[in-house]
Amino acid sequence: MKKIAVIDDEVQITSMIEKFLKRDGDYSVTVYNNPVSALSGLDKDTDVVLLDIMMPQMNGLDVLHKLRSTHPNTNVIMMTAYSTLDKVLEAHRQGAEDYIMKPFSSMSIITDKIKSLKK
Amino acid sequence: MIIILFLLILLILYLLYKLNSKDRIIQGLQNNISTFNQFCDSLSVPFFVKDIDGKYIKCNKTFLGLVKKSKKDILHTTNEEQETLYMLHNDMDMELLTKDSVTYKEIFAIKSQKSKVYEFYKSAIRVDGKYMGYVCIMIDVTEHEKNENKLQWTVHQESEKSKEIVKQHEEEKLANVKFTAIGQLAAGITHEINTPLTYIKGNIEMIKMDLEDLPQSVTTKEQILEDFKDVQSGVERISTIVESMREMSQHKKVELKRTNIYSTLITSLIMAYNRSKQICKIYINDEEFTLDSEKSRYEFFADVEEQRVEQAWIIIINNALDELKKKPNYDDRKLNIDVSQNKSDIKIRFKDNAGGISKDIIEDLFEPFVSAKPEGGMGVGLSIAKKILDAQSATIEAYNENNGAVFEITIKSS
Repeated sequence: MKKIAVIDDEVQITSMIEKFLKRDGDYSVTVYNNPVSALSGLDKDTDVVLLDIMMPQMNGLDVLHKLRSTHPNTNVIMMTAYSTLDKVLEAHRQGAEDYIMKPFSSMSIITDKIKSLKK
Repeated sequence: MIIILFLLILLILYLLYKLNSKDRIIQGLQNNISTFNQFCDSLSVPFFVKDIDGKYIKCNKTFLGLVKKSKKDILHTTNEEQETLYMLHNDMDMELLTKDSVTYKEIFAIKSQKSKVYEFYKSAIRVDGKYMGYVCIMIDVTEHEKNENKLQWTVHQESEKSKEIVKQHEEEKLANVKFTAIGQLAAGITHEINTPLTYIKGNIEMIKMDLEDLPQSVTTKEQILEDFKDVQSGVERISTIVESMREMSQHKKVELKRTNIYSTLITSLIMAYNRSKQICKIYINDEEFTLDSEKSRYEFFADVEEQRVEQAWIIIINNALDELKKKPNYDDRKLNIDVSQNKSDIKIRFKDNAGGISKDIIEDLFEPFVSAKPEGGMGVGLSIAKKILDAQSATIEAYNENNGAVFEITIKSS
Protein backbone atom coordinates (compact mmCIF):
# COMPACT_ATOMS: atom_id res chain seq x y z
CA MET A 1 0.00 0.00 0.00
CA LYS A 2 1.46 3.33 -1.04
CA LYS A 3 1.76 6.06 1.56
CA ILE A 4 0.51 9.34 0.18
CA ALA A 5 0.49 12.76 1.84
CA VAL A 6 -1.54 15.67 0.53
CA ILE A 7 -0.37 19.16 1.52
CA ASP A 8 -2.81 21.92 0.56
CA ASP A 9 -4.31 24.73 2.61
CA GLU A 10 -7.72 24.17 1.01
CA VAL A 11 -9.64 21.68 3.14
CA GLN A 12 -12.09 20.89 0.35
CA ILE A 13 -9.26 19.88 -1.92
CA THR A 14 -7.38 17.70 0.56
CA SER A 15 -10.57 15.92 1.63
CA MET A 16 -11.61 15.37 -1.97
CA ILE A 17 -8.24 13.88 -2.93
CA GLU A 18 -8.29 11.75 0.23
CA LYS A 19 -11.75 10.42 -0.61
CA PHE A 20 -10.74 9.69 -4.16
CA LEU A 21 -7.52 7.86 -3.25
CA LYS A 22 -9.21 5.84 -0.53
CA ARG A 23 -11.94 4.92 -2.96
CA ASP A 24 -9.26 3.41 -5.16
CA GLY A 25 -8.29 1.38 -2.12
CA ASP A 26 -4.60 0.95 -2.58
CA TYR A 27 -3.42 4.03 -0.73
CA SER A 28 -2.98 5.20 2.82
CA VAL A 29 -3.55 8.93 2.86
CA THR A 30 -2.53 11.64 5.31
CA VAL A 31 -3.63 15.21 4.70
CA TYR A 32 -2.10 18.44 5.95
CA ASN A 33 -3.74 21.81 5.61
CA ASN A 34 -0.75 23.55 7.07
CA PRO A 35 2.67 23.07 5.43
CA VAL A 36 4.54 23.79 8.65
CA SER A 37 2.86 20.92 10.49
CA ALA A 38 3.39 18.75 7.41
CA LEU A 39 7.15 19.30 7.56
CA SER A 40 7.29 18.30 11.21
CA GLY A 41 4.80 15.45 10.98
CA LEU A 42 5.51 13.82 7.64
CA ASP A 43 6.54 10.16 7.90
CA LYS A 44 10.00 9.32 6.56
CA ASP A 45 8.65 6.46 4.49
CA THR A 46 6.02 8.52 2.69
CA ASP A 47 6.07 7.45 -0.96
CA VAL A 48 4.44 10.43 -2.60
CA VAL A 49 3.64 13.98 -1.52
CA LEU A 50 1.03 15.92 -3.44
CA LEU A 51 2.11 19.47 -2.73
CA ASP A 52 0.26 22.68 -3.54
CA ILE A 53 2.41 25.60 -4.67
CA MET A 54 0.44 28.51 -3.31
CA MET A 55 -0.18 28.32 0.42
CA PRO A 56 -0.47 31.21 2.85
CA GLN A 57 1.76 29.91 5.62
CA MET A 58 4.60 28.70 3.47
CA ASN A 59 5.22 28.59 -0.24
CA GLY A 60 5.12 25.09 -1.79
CA LEU A 61 8.55 25.67 -3.35
CA ASP A 62 10.05 26.29 0.10
CA VAL A 63 8.35 23.14 1.43
CA LEU A 64 9.81 21.22 -1.51
CA HIS A 65 13.27 22.61 -0.80
CA LYS A 66 13.11 21.38 2.81
CA LEU A 67 11.61 18.03 1.86
CA ARG A 68 14.49 17.32 -0.51
CA SER A 69 16.88 17.18 2.42
CA THR A 70 14.56 15.68 5.07
CA HIS A 71 12.77 13.15 2.84
CA PRO A 72 15.14 12.30 -0.02
CA ASN A 73 13.22 9.14 -0.97
CA THR A 74 9.83 10.78 -1.19
CA ASN A 75 8.48 11.67 -4.61
CA VAL A 76 6.92 15.09 -4.89
CA ILE A 77 4.15 15.98 -7.28
CA MET A 78 3.36 19.68 -7.38
CA MET A 79 -0.20 20.91 -7.71
CA THR A 80 -0.88 24.37 -9.04
CA ALA A 81 -3.84 26.57 -9.71
CA TYR A 82 -1.47 29.09 -11.27
CA SER A 83 -2.22 29.73 -14.86
CA THR A 84 1.37 29.54 -16.02
CA LEU A 85 4.01 26.90 -15.66
CA ASP A 86 6.88 29.02 -14.41
CA LYS A 87 6.45 27.95 -10.78
CA VAL A 88 6.20 24.34 -11.92
CA LEU A 89 9.39 24.65 -13.94
CA GLU A 90 11.07 26.15 -10.92
CA ALA A 91 9.85 23.21 -8.80
CA HIS A 92 11.14 20.82 -11.40
CA ARG A 93 14.58 22.42 -11.14
CA GLN A 94 14.42 21.92 -7.39
CA GLY A 95 13.68 18.23 -7.78
CA ALA A 96 9.91 17.82 -8.03
CA GLU A 97 9.07 14.70 -10.02
CA ASP A 98 5.88 15.87 -11.68
CA TYR A 99 3.07 18.36 -11.60
CA ILE A 100 -0.72 18.49 -11.89
CA MET A 101 -2.60 21.57 -13.01
CA LYS A 102 -5.71 22.63 -11.12
CA PRO A 103 -8.49 22.08 -11.90
CA PHE A 104 -7.62 18.45 -12.61
CA SER A 105 -8.56 17.35 -16.11
CA SER A 106 -10.01 14.32 -14.36
CA MET A 107 -9.54 12.83 -10.91
CA SER A 108 -7.78 9.82 -12.36
CA ILE A 109 -4.88 12.05 -13.37
CA ILE A 110 -3.78 11.87 -9.71
CA THR A 111 -3.53 8.09 -9.68
CA ASP A 112 -2.03 8.10 -13.19
CA LYS A 113 0.72 10.40 -12.05
CA ILE A 114 1.37 8.41 -8.88
CA LYS A 115 1.53 5.14 -10.80
CA SER A 116 3.96 6.54 -13.36
CA LEU A 117 6.53 7.66 -10.83
CA LYS A 118 9.97 6.13 -11.25
CA LYS A 119 10.89 5.43 -7.63
CA MET B 1 40.90 145.04 -94.45
CA ILE B 2 43.25 142.16 -94.12
CA ILE B 3 42.71 142.24 -90.39
CA ILE B 4 38.93 142.26 -90.80
CA LEU B 5 39.23 139.38 -93.23
CA PHE B 6 41.44 137.47 -90.79
CA LEU B 7 38.97 138.03 -87.92
CA LEU B 8 36.14 136.88 -90.17
CA ILE B 9 38.06 133.70 -91.02
CA LEU B 10 38.69 133.16 -87.31
CA LEU B 11 35.01 133.65 -86.57
CA ILE B 12 34.03 131.15 -89.28
CA LEU B 13 36.60 128.66 -87.99
CA TYR B 14 35.31 129.17 -84.42
CA LEU B 15 31.68 128.68 -85.50
CA LEU B 16 32.66 125.58 -87.48
CA TYR B 17 34.48 124.22 -84.45
CA LYS B 18 31.50 124.99 -82.20
CA LEU B 19 29.18 123.26 -84.61
CA ASN B 20 31.41 120.18 -84.72
CA SER B 21 31.69 119.82 -80.93
CA LYS B 22 27.88 120.05 -80.46
CA ASP B 23 27.53 117.21 -82.95
CA ARG B 24 30.17 115.28 -81.11
CA ILE B 25 28.34 115.83 -77.79
CA ILE B 26 25.05 114.77 -79.32
CA GLN B 27 26.80 111.90 -80.95
CA GLY B 28 28.43 111.02 -77.65
CA LEU B 29 25.16 111.25 -75.80
CA GLN B 30 23.45 109.05 -78.34
CA ASN B 31 26.29 106.57 -78.02
CA ASN B 32 25.86 106.54 -74.26
CA ILE B 33 22.10 105.99 -74.49
CA SER B 34 22.64 103.17 -76.90
CA THR B 35 25.28 101.60 -74.63
CA PHE B 36 22.90 101.99 -71.70
CA ASN B 37 20.09 100.35 -73.67
CA GLN B 38 22.38 97.53 -74.70
CA PHE B 39 23.44 97.17 -71.11
CA CYS B 40 19.82 97.01 -69.97
CA ASP B 41 18.85 94.49 -72.61
CA SER B 42 21.79 92.32 -71.79
CA LEU B 43 20.57 92.04 -68.17
CA SER B 44 19.20 88.54 -67.69
CA VAL B 45 16.80 89.77 -65.04
CA PRO B 46 13.71 91.88 -65.76
CA PHE B 47 14.35 95.58 -65.38
CA PHE B 48 12.10 98.59 -65.71
CA VAL B 49 11.83 102.25 -64.79
CA LYS B 50 8.62 104.03 -63.86
CA ASP B 51 7.97 107.71 -63.58
CA ILE B 52 6.18 109.56 -60.81
CA ASP B 53 2.80 108.72 -62.37
CA GLY B 54 3.57 105.01 -62.36
CA LYS B 55 4.06 104.87 -66.11
CA TYR B 56 6.73 102.64 -67.60
CA ILE B 57 9.37 104.81 -69.15
CA LYS B 58 12.00 102.17 -69.70
CA CYS B 59 12.29 98.39 -69.62
CA ASN B 60 14.57 95.72 -70.95
CA LYS B 61 13.99 92.78 -73.26
CA THR B 62 13.86 90.28 -70.43
CA PHE B 63 11.00 92.24 -68.87
CA LEU B 64 9.17 92.39 -72.18
CA GLY B 65 9.68 88.66 -72.56
CA LEU B 66 8.28 88.10 -69.13
CA VAL B 67 5.14 90.18 -69.60
CA LYS B 68 4.73 89.06 -73.21
CA LYS B 69 4.41 92.62 -74.48
CA SER B 70 6.18 94.78 -77.00
CA LYS B 71 7.97 97.94 -75.97
CA LYS B 72 5.37 99.99 -77.78
CA ASP B 73 2.52 98.38 -75.80
CA ILE B 74 4.03 98.88 -72.45
CA LEU B 75 5.91 102.18 -72.43
CA HIS B 76 3.97 105.21 -71.18
CA THR B 77 1.25 102.99 -69.69
CA THR B 78 0.48 102.08 -66.11
CA ASN B 79 -0.29 98.60 -64.75
CA GLU B 80 -3.93 99.58 -64.44
CA GLU B 81 -4.00 100.05 -68.16
CA GLN B 82 -2.46 96.60 -68.81
CA GLU B 83 -5.40 94.23 -68.59
CA THR B 84 -3.37 91.07 -68.59
CA LEU B 85 -0.68 92.19 -66.18
CA TYR B 86 -1.22 91.87 -62.48
CA MET B 87 1.47 93.73 -60.68
CA LEU B 88 -0.32 96.27 -58.56
CA HIS B 89 2.16 96.94 -55.88
CA ASN B 90 1.09 100.51 -55.32
CA ASP B 91 1.45 100.34 -51.56
CA MET B 92 5.09 99.42 -51.88
CA ASP B 93 5.62 102.07 -54.55
CA MET B 94 4.20 104.70 -52.23
CA GLU B 95 6.85 103.86 -49.68
CA LEU B 96 9.48 105.09 -52.13
CA LEU B 97 8.21 108.64 -51.64
CA THR B 98 9.95 108.60 -48.29
CA LYS B 99 12.44 105.76 -48.63
CA ASP B 100 15.43 105.29 -50.92
CA SER B 101 14.62 101.67 -51.67
CA VAL B 102 12.23 98.85 -50.95
CA THR B 103 12.63 95.10 -51.36
CA TYR B 104 9.81 92.62 -51.19
CA LYS B 105 8.69 89.25 -52.44
CA GLU B 106 5.50 88.86 -54.38
CA ILE B 107 3.77 86.35 -56.60
CA PHE B 108 3.87 87.57 -60.16
CA ALA B 109 1.03 86.32 -62.28
CA ILE B 110 0.27 86.81 -65.92
CA LYS B 111 -3.02 85.60 -67.30
CA SER B 112 -2.87 81.98 -68.48
CA GLN B 113 0.66 81.48 -67.26
CA LYS B 114 2.09 79.70 -64.29
CA SER B 115 2.60 82.21 -61.53
CA LYS B 116 6.09 82.76 -60.20
CA VAL B 117 7.54 84.34 -57.14
CA TYR B 118 9.78 87.35 -57.68
CA GLU B 119 11.81 89.48 -55.40
CA PHE B 120 11.41 93.15 -56.34
CA TYR B 121 14.31 95.53 -55.72
CA LYS B 122 13.10 99.11 -56.19
CA SER B 123 15.20 102.24 -55.83
CA ALA B 124 13.81 105.77 -55.92
CA ILE B 125 15.10 108.28 -58.50
CA ARG B 126 15.42 111.80 -57.13
CA VAL B 127 16.57 114.90 -58.97
CA ASP B 128 17.50 117.76 -56.69
CA GLY B 129 15.69 115.94 -53.90
CA LYS B 130 12.49 115.66 -55.89
CA TYR B 131 11.01 112.18 -56.42
CA MET B 132 10.86 111.37 -60.12
CA GLY B 133 10.08 107.65 -60.17
CA TYR B 134 11.94 104.45 -59.54
CA VAL B 135 14.13 101.77 -61.03
CA CYS B 136 13.19 98.14 -60.45
CA ILE B 137 14.99 94.84 -60.87
CA MET B 138 13.07 91.58 -60.48
CA ILE B 139 14.74 88.34 -59.38
CA ASP B 140 12.96 85.01 -59.91
CA VAL B 141 12.98 83.19 -56.56
CA THR B 142 10.34 80.55 -57.40
CA GLU B 143 12.74 77.60 -57.12
CA HIS B 144 14.28 78.99 -53.98
CA GLU B 145 10.81 79.42 -52.47
CA LYS B 146 9.87 75.91 -53.47
CA ASN B 147 13.02 74.55 -51.86
CA GLU B 148 12.44 76.61 -48.79
CA ASN B 149 8.85 75.45 -48.63
CA LYS B 150 10.02 71.89 -49.16
CA LEU B 151 12.57 72.34 -46.43
CA GLN B 152 9.98 73.82 -44.10
CA TRP B 153 7.60 71.03 -45.00
CA THR B 154 10.30 68.43 -44.33
CA VAL B 155 11.15 70.07 -41.03
CA HIS B 156 7.44 70.19 -40.22
CA GLN B 157 6.99 66.55 -41.16
CA GLU B 158 10.04 65.46 -39.19
CA SER B 159 8.82 67.30 -36.14
CA GLU B 160 5.35 65.79 -36.61
CA LYS B 161 6.95 62.36 -36.95
CA SER B 162 8.95 62.73 -33.77
CA LYS B 163 5.84 64.02 -32.02
CA GLU B 164 4.05 60.91 -33.28
CA ILE B 165 6.85 58.67 -32.00
CA VAL B 166 6.73 60.33 -28.58
CA LYS B 167 2.95 59.88 -28.60
CA GLN B 168 3.33 56.23 -29.57
CA HIS B 169 5.84 55.67 -26.79
CA GLU B 170 3.44 57.25 -24.35
CA GLU B 171 0.62 55.06 -25.64
CA GLU B 172 2.79 51.96 -25.46
CA LYS B 173 3.76 52.84 -21.92
CA LEU B 174 0.13 53.32 -21.01
CA ALA B 175 -0.83 50.09 -22.78
CA ASN B 176 1.92 48.26 -20.89
CA VAL B 177 0.68 49.62 -17.60
CA LYS B 178 -2.87 48.63 -18.52
CA PHE B 179 -1.71 45.23 -19.73
CA THR B 180 0.27 44.63 -16.57
CA ALA B 181 -2.74 45.58 -14.48
CA ILE B 182 -5.05 43.35 -16.51
CA GLY B 183 -2.46 40.56 -16.36
CA GLN B 184 -2.18 40.77 -12.61
CA LEU B 185 -5.92 40.85 -12.29
CA ALA B 186 -6.30 37.87 -14.65
CA ALA B 187 -3.60 35.92 -12.79
CA GLY B 188 -5.33 36.60 -9.49
CA ILE B 189 -8.78 35.74 -10.80
CA THR B 190 -7.52 32.59 -12.55
CA HIS B 191 -5.86 31.35 -9.40
CA GLU B 192 -8.83 32.15 -7.20
CA ILE B 193 -11.37 30.55 -9.53
CA ASN B 194 -9.22 27.51 -10.19
CA THR B 195 -9.15 26.53 -6.54
CA PRO B 196 -12.94 26.12 -5.98
CA LEU B 197 -13.24 24.87 -9.55
CA THR B 198 -10.88 22.03 -8.64
CA TYR B 199 -13.09 20.69 -5.91
CA ILE B 200 -16.36 21.39 -7.70
CA LYS B 201 -15.11 19.55 -10.76
CA GLY B 202 -13.50 16.75 -8.76
CA ASN B 203 -16.52 16.21 -6.57
CA ILE B 204 -18.90 16.23 -9.52
CA GLU B 205 -16.75 13.51 -11.03
CA MET B 206 -16.89 11.49 -7.85
CA ILE B 207 -20.65 11.97 -7.41
CA LYS B 208 -21.02 10.69 -10.93
CA MET B 209 -18.94 7.64 -10.04
CA ASP B 210 -21.16 7.08 -6.99
CA LEU B 211 -24.28 7.46 -9.10
CA GLU B 212 -23.00 4.97 -11.59
CA ASP B 213 -22.34 2.57 -8.74
CA LEU B 214 -25.99 2.74 -7.67
CA PRO B 215 -27.96 -0.39 -8.49
CA GLN B 216 -30.14 -0.18 -11.61
CA SER B 217 -33.16 -0.67 -9.35
CA VAL B 218 -32.97 2.92 -8.18
CA THR B 219 -35.59 4.38 -10.46
CA THR B 220 -34.27 7.91 -10.56
CA LYS B 221 -30.67 6.88 -11.40
CA GLU B 222 -30.95 7.46 -15.15
CA GLN B 223 -32.70 10.76 -14.65
CA ILE B 224 -30.05 12.02 -12.22
CA LEU B 225 -27.24 10.91 -14.51
CA GLU B 226 -28.92 12.72 -17.40
CA ASP B 227 -29.29 15.92 -15.37
CA PHE B 228 -25.72 15.58 -14.34
CA LYS B 229 -24.44 15.91 -17.89
CA ASP B 230 -25.44 19.57 -17.97
CA VAL B 231 -23.83 20.28 -14.61
CA GLN B 232 -20.62 18.71 -15.82
CA SER B 233 -20.60 20.47 -19.19
CA GLY B 234 -21.27 23.79 -17.45
CA VAL B 235 -18.28 23.30 -15.19
CA GLU B 236 -16.16 22.26 -18.18
CA ARG B 237 -17.15 25.48 -19.88
CA ILE B 238 -16.05 27.55 -16.92
CA SER B 239 -12.75 25.65 -16.86
CA THR B 240 -12.20 26.46 -20.53
CA ILE B 241 -12.83 30.14 -20.01
CA VAL B 242 -10.45 30.29 -17.06
CA GLU B 243 -7.89 28.31 -19.04
CA SER B 244 -8.13 30.81 -21.88
CA MET B 245 -7.15 33.57 -19.48
CA ARG B 246 -3.80 31.89 -18.98
CA GLU B 247 -1.79 33.76 -21.50
CA MET B 248 -3.33 37.06 -20.44
CA SER B 249 -2.10 36.48 -16.94
CA GLN B 250 1.45 36.25 -18.22
CA HIS B 251 1.83 39.71 -16.78
CA LYS B 252 5.53 40.01 -16.36
CA LYS B 253 7.49 40.69 -19.49
CA VAL B 254 10.68 38.79 -18.90
CA GLU B 255 13.76 39.99 -20.69
CA LEU B 256 14.98 37.93 -23.60
CA LYS B 257 18.06 35.95 -22.70
CA ARG B 258 20.53 34.06 -24.85
CA THR B 259 19.32 30.50 -24.36
CA ASN B 260 20.23 27.07 -25.69
CA ILE B 261 17.02 25.98 -27.42
CA TYR B 262 18.13 22.33 -27.32
CA SER B 263 18.38 22.47 -23.55
CA THR B 264 14.87 24.01 -23.26
CA LEU B 265 13.57 21.07 -25.28
CA ILE B 266 15.24 18.58 -22.94
CA THR B 267 13.76 20.37 -19.90
CA SER B 268 10.30 20.21 -21.45
CA LEU B 269 10.75 16.53 -22.33
CA ILE B 270 11.73 15.80 -18.72
CA MET B 271 8.62 17.66 -17.57
CA ALA B 272 6.45 15.61 -19.89
CA TYR B 273 8.31 12.35 -19.25
CA ASN B 274 5.97 10.85 -16.68
CA ARG B 275 3.25 11.01 -19.24
CA SER B 276 5.26 10.35 -22.37
CA LYS B 277 6.91 7.19 -21.12
CA GLN B 278 3.52 5.48 -21.06
CA ILE B 279 2.61 6.68 -24.51
CA CYS B 280 5.60 6.49 -26.82
CA LYS B 281 9.30 6.84 -27.38
CA ILE B 282 10.51 10.31 -28.21
CA TYR B 283 13.56 10.94 -30.37
CA ILE B 284 15.44 14.20 -30.37
CA ASN B 285 17.91 14.65 -33.19
CA ASP B 286 17.64 10.92 -33.84
CA GLU B 287 18.59 9.89 -30.31
CA GLU B 288 16.03 8.41 -27.96
CA PHE B 289 15.19 10.79 -25.15
CA THR B 290 15.78 9.49 -21.61
CA LEU B 291 16.02 11.24 -18.27
CA ASP B 292 19.79 11.03 -18.70
CA SER B 293 19.79 12.96 -21.96
CA GLU B 294 22.45 15.64 -21.78
CA LYS B 295 21.01 19.18 -21.95
CA SER B 296 24.04 20.68 -23.62
CA ARG B 297 24.67 17.88 -26.09
CA TYR B 298 23.86 20.34 -28.88
CA GLU B 299 23.92 24.10 -28.88
CA PHE B 300 21.42 26.25 -30.72
CA PHE B 301 21.35 29.71 -29.20
CA ALA B 302 18.51 32.22 -29.51
CA ASP B 303 17.33 35.23 -27.50
CA VAL B 304 14.13 34.04 -25.85
CA GLU B 305 12.21 33.96 -22.59
CA GLU B 306 13.46 30.57 -21.44
CA GLN B 307 10.57 29.45 -19.26
CA ARG B 308 7.87 30.58 -21.61
CA VAL B 309 9.52 28.77 -24.50
CA GLU B 310 9.66 25.63 -22.35
CA GLN B 311 5.94 26.04 -21.72
CA ALA B 312 5.31 26.24 -25.44
CA TRP B 313 7.27 23.00 -26.05
CA ILE B 314 5.34 21.26 -23.25
CA ILE B 315 2.06 22.25 -24.88
CA ILE B 316 3.19 21.02 -28.28
CA ILE B 317 4.58 17.76 -26.85
CA ASN B 318 1.43 17.11 -24.80
CA ASN B 319 -0.67 17.85 -27.84
CA ALA B 320 1.27 15.24 -29.82
CA LEU B 321 0.98 12.74 -26.94
CA ASP B 322 -2.81 13.24 -26.86
CA GLU B 323 -2.98 12.37 -30.53
CA LEU B 324 -0.55 9.45 -30.29
CA LYS B 325 -2.53 7.96 -27.42
CA LYS B 326 -5.36 7.33 -29.86
CA LYS B 327 -3.25 4.67 -31.58
CA PRO B 328 -3.69 1.32 -29.86
CA ASN B 329 -0.10 0.05 -29.80
CA TYR B 330 2.80 1.60 -27.94
CA ASP B 331 5.28 0.39 -30.53
CA ASP B 332 3.40 2.06 -33.39
CA ARG B 333 3.66 5.50 -31.80
CA LYS B 334 6.59 7.80 -32.32
CA LEU B 335 7.44 11.46 -31.81
CA ASN B 336 10.51 12.93 -33.48
CA ILE B 337 11.95 16.27 -32.56
CA ASP B 338 14.61 17.73 -34.82
CA VAL B 339 16.57 20.86 -34.14
CA SER B 340 18.70 22.30 -36.91
CA GLN B 341 20.22 25.60 -37.83
CA ASN B 342 20.96 27.41 -41.04
CA LYS B 343 22.73 30.77 -41.21
CA SER B 344 20.39 32.86 -39.14
CA ASP B 345 17.49 30.63 -38.14
CA ILE B 346 16.96 27.74 -35.79
CA LYS B 347 14.34 25.27 -36.96
CA ILE B 348 12.54 22.96 -34.53
CA ARG B 349 10.32 20.24 -35.96
CA PHE B 350 7.95 18.13 -33.88
CA LYS B 351 6.76 15.26 -36.01
CA ASP B 352 4.42 12.52 -34.85
CA ASN B 353 2.89 9.56 -36.67
CA ALA B 354 -0.59 9.86 -35.23
CA GLY B 355 -2.36 10.24 -38.55
CA GLY B 356 -2.12 13.98 -39.07
CA ILE B 357 -4.29 16.96 -38.27
CA SER B 358 -7.88 16.81 -39.45
CA LYS B 359 -8.69 19.03 -42.42
CA ASP B 360 -11.57 20.57 -40.48
CA ILE B 361 -9.35 22.22 -37.93
CA ILE B 362 -5.95 22.62 -39.62
CA GLU B 363 -6.76 26.16 -40.78
CA ASP B 364 -7.77 27.40 -37.33
CA LEU B 365 -5.44 25.20 -35.32
CA PHE B 366 -3.89 28.09 -33.45
CA GLU B 367 -7.18 29.81 -32.71
CA PRO B 368 -8.47 29.43 -29.14
CA PHE B 369 -11.18 26.83 -28.48
CA VAL B 370 -10.24 24.65 -31.44
CA SER B 371 -9.71 21.07 -30.39
CA ALA B 372 -9.57 17.63 -31.92
CA LYS B 373 -10.01 15.86 -28.63
CA PRO B 374 -13.35 14.04 -28.49
CA GLU B 375 -13.33 13.98 -24.70
CA GLY B 376 -13.29 17.76 -24.82
CA GLY B 377 -9.83 19.21 -24.70
CA MET B 378 -9.57 22.78 -23.55
CA GLY B 379 -8.70 23.83 -27.06
CA VAL B 380 -6.57 26.67 -25.83
CA GLY B 381 -3.19 24.97 -25.61
CA LEU B 382 -1.89 25.56 -29.11
CA SER B 383 -3.21 29.12 -29.18
CA ILE B 384 -1.15 29.77 -26.05
CA ALA B 385 1.92 28.12 -27.60
CA LYS B 386 1.54 30.38 -30.61
CA LYS B 387 1.17 33.49 -28.48
CA ILE B 388 4.30 32.58 -26.54
CA LEU B 389 6.25 31.99 -29.75
CA ASP B 390 4.92 35.21 -31.30
CA ALA B 391 6.37 37.07 -28.35
CA GLN B 392 9.79 35.61 -29.18
CA SER B 393 9.40 36.69 -32.83
CA ALA B 394 9.29 33.02 -33.69
CA THR B 395 6.93 31.52 -36.24
CA ILE B 396 4.99 28.29 -35.94
CA GLU B 397 3.27 26.38 -38.68
CA ALA B 398 1.50 23.08 -38.73
CA TYR B 399 1.10 20.69 -41.64
CA ASN B 400 0.72 16.99 -42.33
CA GLU B 401 3.51 14.80 -43.60
CA ASN B 402 3.69 10.99 -44.03
CA ASN B 403 0.69 10.12 -41.93
CA GLY B 404 1.56 12.49 -39.12
CA ALA B 405 1.45 16.10 -38.00
CA VAL B 406 4.43 18.42 -38.13
CA PHE B 407 4.77 21.51 -35.99
CA GLU B 408 7.60 23.59 -37.35
CA ILE B 409 9.01 26.51 -35.41
CA THR B 410 11.53 28.99 -36.70
CA ILE B 411 13.45 31.22 -34.31
CA LYS B 412 16.15 33.73 -35.14
CA SER B 413 19.46 32.48 -33.78
CA SER B 414 21.79 34.65 -31.72
